[in-house]
Order: sequence, then structure tokens, then C-alpha cells
Amino acid sequence: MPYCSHCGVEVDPKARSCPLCLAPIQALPRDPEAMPEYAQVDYKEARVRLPVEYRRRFAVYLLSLVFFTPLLVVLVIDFVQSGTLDWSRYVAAALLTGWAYSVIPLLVRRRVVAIVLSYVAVSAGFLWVLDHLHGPPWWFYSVGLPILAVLAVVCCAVVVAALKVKRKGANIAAFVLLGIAVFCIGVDIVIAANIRGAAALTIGWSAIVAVALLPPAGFLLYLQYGIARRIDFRRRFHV
Amino acid sequence: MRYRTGGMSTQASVSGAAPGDWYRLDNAAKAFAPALSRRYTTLFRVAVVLNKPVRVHDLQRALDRCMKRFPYYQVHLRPGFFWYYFEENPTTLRVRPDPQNPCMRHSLRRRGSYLLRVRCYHCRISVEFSHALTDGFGALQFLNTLLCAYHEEVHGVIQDWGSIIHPESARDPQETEDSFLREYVPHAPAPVSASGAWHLPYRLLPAGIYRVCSGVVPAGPLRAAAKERGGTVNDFLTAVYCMALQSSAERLGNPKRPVRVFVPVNLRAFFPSRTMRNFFSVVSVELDLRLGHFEFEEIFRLVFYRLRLELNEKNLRTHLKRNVKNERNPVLRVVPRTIKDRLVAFVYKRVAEGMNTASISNLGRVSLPSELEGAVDRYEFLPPPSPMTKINCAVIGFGDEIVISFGRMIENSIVEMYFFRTLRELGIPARIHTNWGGD
Repeated sequence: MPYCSHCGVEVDPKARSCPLCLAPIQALPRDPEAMPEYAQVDYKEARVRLPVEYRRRFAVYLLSLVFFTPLLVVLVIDFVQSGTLDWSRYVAAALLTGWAYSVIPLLVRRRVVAIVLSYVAVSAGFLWVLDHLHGPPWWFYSVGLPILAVLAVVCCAVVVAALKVKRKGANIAAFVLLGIAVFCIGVDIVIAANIRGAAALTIGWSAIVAVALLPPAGFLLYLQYGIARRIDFRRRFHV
Repeated sequence: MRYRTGGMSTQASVSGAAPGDWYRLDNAAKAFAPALSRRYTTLFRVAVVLNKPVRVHDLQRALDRCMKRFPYYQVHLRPGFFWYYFEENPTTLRVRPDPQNPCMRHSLRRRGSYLLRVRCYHCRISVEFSHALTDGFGALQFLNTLLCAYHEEVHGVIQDWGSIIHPESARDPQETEDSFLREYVPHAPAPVSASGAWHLPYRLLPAGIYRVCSGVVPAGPLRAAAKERGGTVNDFLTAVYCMALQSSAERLGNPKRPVRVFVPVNLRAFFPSRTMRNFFSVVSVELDLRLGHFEFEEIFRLVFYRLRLELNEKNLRTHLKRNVKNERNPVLRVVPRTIKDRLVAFVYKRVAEGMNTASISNLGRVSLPSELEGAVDRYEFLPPPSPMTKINCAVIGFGDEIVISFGRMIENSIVEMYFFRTLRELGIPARIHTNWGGD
């Protein structure tokens, strides 16, 4: 072991000078197996990856804070101003619905049917509350609920179709356009039947929407199943 | 059965800690947690150097076993409204490579970040603990358990673990208690506060750099030299340290403030406690260089009598009073943590750390089961970095060798130089190694 004659200490075999007084140390034949006492590099601190369940719980807490803080504020302001809860009830209903929309995928994860049913239930609840806040209820059962049912069915159909197809691309956009067309027809029928008092299955403005949407949807389907089969877009436009 | 005492659960689960468990910080940790910063990492290290290179996968398996036994270390630091608290850490602690600069680069306040690290390099297994989590005693207990578990993974079952905690043994609820609060006597007087001490005048190295210099000295001559003077190894090394600081201070000019060395004391030796969290206090040895130069024998006598005067149960109760009275202060308790953080950090860094020139911490001699005696080369103990004192010293013994390690945040190695030269003059050889190579 090399030795510093000034400090009287033995030093590392690889040291060329004394680490204490910096005096040079005579080189000795080195042991090729010898490792330095410490690594010669510093490592960055490893990134902490929290478990999914922990992050999900944290996200729920954070979203609750984001939605319930303004909820509390508007309730207090309304009560202080008018001595009762008036307009703030609408805001509170909207905030509670927004909170439910945002936390449902976090709480009911990976169960698509449960998520869809939860969304439908929350939306129905929101519409029911709005109808009842305004005075005697009159539009929820006749208009709100049927439109919501149409929306839920159309959305489910589009999602299922998008999941079922093997090659995904322009056909998804086509399914969305077709879904919009069907939804508009459904809304038109419900409104015509309940508000305008028309006979059942009367189609008005929604026919124009459907006619406008069908050509682009057809083009997109042709693009997907007609042209795309012959041209490999993935190869030509890969990033 | 499961019960909670301030959130502490004693029930074991798969991870060791039950989900949702939380722990109050102990009295000492309440000062360390707000002080955390890039330089005040509060991390200290206990390490064991084996005779063969470490097998990382076996070490990871041993670590997984150990963490179930020590759930109070499987935590991360979370901010409460009034105080910080420890919460069960949902991540798994992984063995990491050992870098050139130990006890640095750690974001201890980050969510999911452990307050301990297990690192390995070549033949060395190192455990770095934040002082917010435990003291040297707790860290050494953990390292010994980890070492024995690792040895079992590699070489088979150890028959007799002796005083070392077995990873599958039952946990004692007292291991999580805050012994400071248990031994605190409200009407005891607090000790007289010390004045500011002299500090090394050098500029700090950039954050992230920590110079380590360890000297391996034979235990026989050291014990003989201490015994010849009627003292212990601890008295002797503290005296040599004071001598080195005196030589440094004299070379750097005539200091107007005293050279004061803090000696941490394991309070478990004076009060019955089985806690694995912090339970230590500090006593000090002071040299006022305005009185003139002190010879080594003078310093030794001063250290000898000072330590014996300080180290008794009654005097240590006054130290407990000083530590706990602030925590119990009703005004301080209701101050929000964000404000308290700044206040406590200032008091800790400027006032408490400002009262000592340097510290020397001695963990004593480590004993291991007979199966491991031949597998271990030596133990190492590194002190936590301190930008105020700039240098600290830590001592640990194993077998017939004692390792004296200095950790400093300055470039100049004047204190180590005088320390090992003094040892040499007293007839004790040293073999030193550093983390900067000395090239």
C-alpha cells in the first residue's frame, strides 16, 4: 500500500498524491484487480413511479378540491346576497355533475358498461334536477329523458362499432358522422312529437343534417375500405 | 388486533405497513424535516464492506424481507397543516448503485420518495438514512438485519442471530414510540444555551459534492493509547479531533469564538427505550483558544471529565427539556406548518448548528453472528453533511479495526490532515481512502 511520508498514512493504491496534504506519492505497481473505494460517477436520483391506485386516489382528491371549492364559494355568496339559495342551485348542480363526470372513470375503471350506465344515470339526474329547480316539472320525462336515451344508444353504438372493426382509421370518423345524423333524427322526432304536437315519426330539419352528413361519411368509408386497402398509409406516412 | 396511537398501527400486512398508516414525527425529526434542502440532506450512512462483491438480486430479496419487518421505515414524508407526518409509501424500495458523492442528491420531500436509500458498489452495502427517520442506532440495526438477510440469501440460514433483529420476528409496538416525549419531565430546567462557535472559514463546494475521507486504524493501539490515559476510545478520538480543530484554528488565525465539538449520545443507554426512531442528544466539549494553546494531554483530561460530568440521567433530562419544550409550546403548535418551516429551519441551521464547530459521532463496536465474522471486512459510518459546520466526523468499529470517517463540504482537508497526523504522532497508524481519489 502506498504511504504518505508527511502525514504518515497509507493511501489508495491508485492515488498519485496524498488526499490530505497533496504531497506526491511514489507510484507502485498497480493491482489490476483493485477497484477504487468509491464509484467515479454520480447517478441521477431514480424517478419515483407511484402505483396507479395511489395516483388515481390522489386525482380523485384533487378533482374534488377543484369542484367543491367553487361550489362552496357560490353557495355562500348567494346566501349572503339574497338570504336564500337561488341561482347558486343551478351552478351547484352543474358543478356536482362535472365532478361526477370527471371521477367516474377513475372510480369505475375498465368496466365500460358500468361507466356508460353511470354517465347516463348522472346525466339523467342532472336533467331531472334542472327540470325540478325551475318550477313544476314539465320537460324531463317527455323530452329530456328520451333525448338522453337516444344519445346513450347512439354513443354506445358508435363506440361498439369503433371497437369491433379490425382496421381503424377514417371509418371511425364515418361512424361518428353517422351517429350525429341518427342522433339529430332522434332529437327531431322527440321534439316534433312532444313540443310541436306533430304526429309520430315526423322528420323535419334533421333530414337536411342527415343528407349533409351522409356523403362525407360515405367518402370516409370508401377511403378506408376502398383506397386504403391498396395504399399502405402507415408505411408512407409513418412518423 | 389492530390499534392506533397517533396513527401508528401494529398490524402487519403484505408490505409491512397497513394501508393508510401514518406516523407522527419524533421530536428530533420535527427539526430535521423543515431543514431539508439540497445541502442539508440530513442523510447519514452506515455501510458494510464485504470480502466478496455484492450480488444485487440477492440484496434486493433481502431488502424486501427487511422492509416488512420495519414498516415505520417504509414511509414518505407528507406535509400536514401543522406538522409533517410519515405516511405509508406505496412504492417498493429498490437497491440503487452507489455514486461518488454519498448522502447527496435526494428529494426527500417528494411524494413516494423514501427517507432511506440502500446502495451497493463492488463489495460495499450502504444504507443512507435521513435523520428525520431515525438515528445511528436505528440505521445500524436495519443494516445488520439487511446484512444477515443477505447472507441467508447467499449462503443459507444463520442459526443464531444474537441481538440482531430477525426480519420474520414479531414487531414490538415500542419500536415506534417517541421516547423523547415519554422521558420528558415538564418541570425540569433547560440547560444554559451556548454561544456561537468558531467555524472553518472556507467556501462551500457546489451542492451535490460531499468529500469523504475514511481512515482505517487498528483497534489495539487505539485502545491501548486510551487505556494508558485512563479513558475510552471515544474520549481519545474526541480529544484528537479537538486537537486537530485547534491546530486548524491556530493556522487560520486567532479565533474569537470557542472551538466546540458536539458529541451525540445514544439516550437508550440512559433511559429504557426500544424505539427505532430518533432518541439521541448531544453534549459538547469546548476549547477557548483565547486562553492559549492546549496540549493533547490537557485536551484529553478536559474531554474525559466533561463527558463524565454531562453523561448522567439528570443532566440529560435537561437536554430533553430543551428539545421537547418547543414542540409542546401551544403557540408554536397552532402556527401553520408553512410558517413554522421557516422558523424551525432558521433556528436549526443558524442557531443550533451555529453553536458547534464540528461533531464526532461514535456508533461503537459492531458484533455479528459467527457465520458473518469472516464475510465482513469492515463497517463504515459517514456523518450527515452540514453547510454550517462544514465538516463532521463519525466512528465505527468492527473486529480489530476502527474506521474514522470525515464528511466535509469544503475543498480543504486541513482538519483530516491534522487529525491523522496527530494520531500518527501518538503512535497509531492509519490507512485512508477517499471518494475523490487524491489525484
